[in-house]
Amino acid sequence: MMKIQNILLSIPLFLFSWSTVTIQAQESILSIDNYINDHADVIDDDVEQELNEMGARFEKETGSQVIFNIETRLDNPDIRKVAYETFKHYELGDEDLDNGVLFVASIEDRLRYMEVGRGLEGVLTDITSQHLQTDYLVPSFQEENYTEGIRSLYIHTIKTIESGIEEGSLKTSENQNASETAIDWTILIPIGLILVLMAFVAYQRRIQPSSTIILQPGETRELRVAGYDFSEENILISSQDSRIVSVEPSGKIQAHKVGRTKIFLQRLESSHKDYINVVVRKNHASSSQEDDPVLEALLWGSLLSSGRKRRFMGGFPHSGGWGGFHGGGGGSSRGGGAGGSW
Amino acid sequence: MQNKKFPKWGIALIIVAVVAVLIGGLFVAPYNNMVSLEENVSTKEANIQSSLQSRLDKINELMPSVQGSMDHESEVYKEITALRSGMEGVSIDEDGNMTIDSNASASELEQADQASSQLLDDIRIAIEAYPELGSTQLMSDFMTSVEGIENRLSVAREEYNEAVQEYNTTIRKFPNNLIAGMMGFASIDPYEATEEAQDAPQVHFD
Repeated sequence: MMKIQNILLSIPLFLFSWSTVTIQAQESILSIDNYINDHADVIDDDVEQELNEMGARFEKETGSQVIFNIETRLDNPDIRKVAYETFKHYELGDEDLDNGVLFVASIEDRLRYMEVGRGLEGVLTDITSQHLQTDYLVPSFQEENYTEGIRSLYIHTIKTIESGIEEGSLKTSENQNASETAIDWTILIPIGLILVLMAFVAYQRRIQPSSTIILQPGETRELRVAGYDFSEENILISSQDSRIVSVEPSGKIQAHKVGRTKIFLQRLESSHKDYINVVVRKNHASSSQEDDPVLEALLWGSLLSSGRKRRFMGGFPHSGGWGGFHGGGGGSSRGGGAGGSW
Repeated sequence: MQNKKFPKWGIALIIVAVVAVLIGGLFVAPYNNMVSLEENVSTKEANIQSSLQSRLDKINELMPSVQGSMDHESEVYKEITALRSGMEGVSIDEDGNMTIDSNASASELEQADQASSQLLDDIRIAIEAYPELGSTQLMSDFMTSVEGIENRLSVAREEYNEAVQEYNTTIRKFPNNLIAGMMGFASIDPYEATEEAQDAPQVHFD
């Protein structure tokens, strides 16, 4: 009996291992954990926050991810390669619309490059993206006013993409929805298997990674998750949307308003991430049904049917990135874009 | 005692069923996998082809003004003429526009790639030497679009080689190599590295 249980438990692990990403050309891949990634620390914090919020809003409206990385220097001097590899690693933009943009600036190398997803090449042509940079970024960067350069380029990049949407040359998330209802059934088979196994496992322990907890607005809870000891300092914990649920490093979580979000967990030394679904709702008779497998199955079903596939590839929010960017959407680029110096 | 033997045709049926399952498991799945990997290589080759075509389109667009204002006796002009007429897998129409043949082989694409790269360099030299060919703004836009074309082309080459590598590795593995031999899956040469790729820094593990 024990053996069968072990085999059953190993199946989802095996299935999950398919999705692990091989780490390649690490020196070319920059880390992205928000819309503005100011690793050179040259952007004013309030502007950074303003742009991060703008980026999040823009993604929500259009599915388009506009990501800026500002580095002190690059390990790989080929900035095109860096931008392309980073874009590819995080799969920026929507899976079907390929509408991601990644801008990289390296302060000490005085290099800049904007990588444009396939779906945006029509509106952000190589020449347009070059002109955006030379018009809005270069003058400020020459005066070492990095904050203004980044702010102006970010706003105008978004405006340019928006103008493309208004002119109808781009598809938005909304008019894409019709074709999204087609579900790849082969994907549902392993998911269904996992679902059944998770329901089984839910009876075995308390909170398991990937399970669901239900809170009421204002409620606080000490999180106890199998495999994570919050008294140790090597646990990263963050909330996908801190307006719904905020988290503390001690594992204490607080619900703020009605909604549904995820809490991500990761050990510092490990690249494996777990998450817990959190549902905040009012007037729930009792929160004791948190591990109810039927409820869980229903929630999973609704998540599957409502959402596009999200990929949590390294898009783990670190300090300061609470509730912002949460991974690429599966988009791709083919080396479109432009760059230069200043 | 009545000897009720299991009928011979029943045993034969079981053997046939087992063989069918074995063929299904050992043959069909790897075969289909190889087919899709080979198809992937073709797709990536088409990407190279379309990137190359956009490079040729750029050259086509610039050619009339380059030819119009250049000294026809200059070395660069002669080289441009020679390169254009000597490209394999590329046809030139009456207006002088170059188009890649739709059935060009990978090696023909490689040659067209190298020749058109040289051609583009010559045009760049020509534009720099003849200021009347373009204003500074036009020149910088030209450079931007050429760089974009080159970047897409290098991405297409890289993706092609990744696809080729995956395909080649798959058909060499056991038991795929047996099926590949039977069904005529031959290994594919990777796209030859360009000069810039060969200049890539070497990594030493001392």
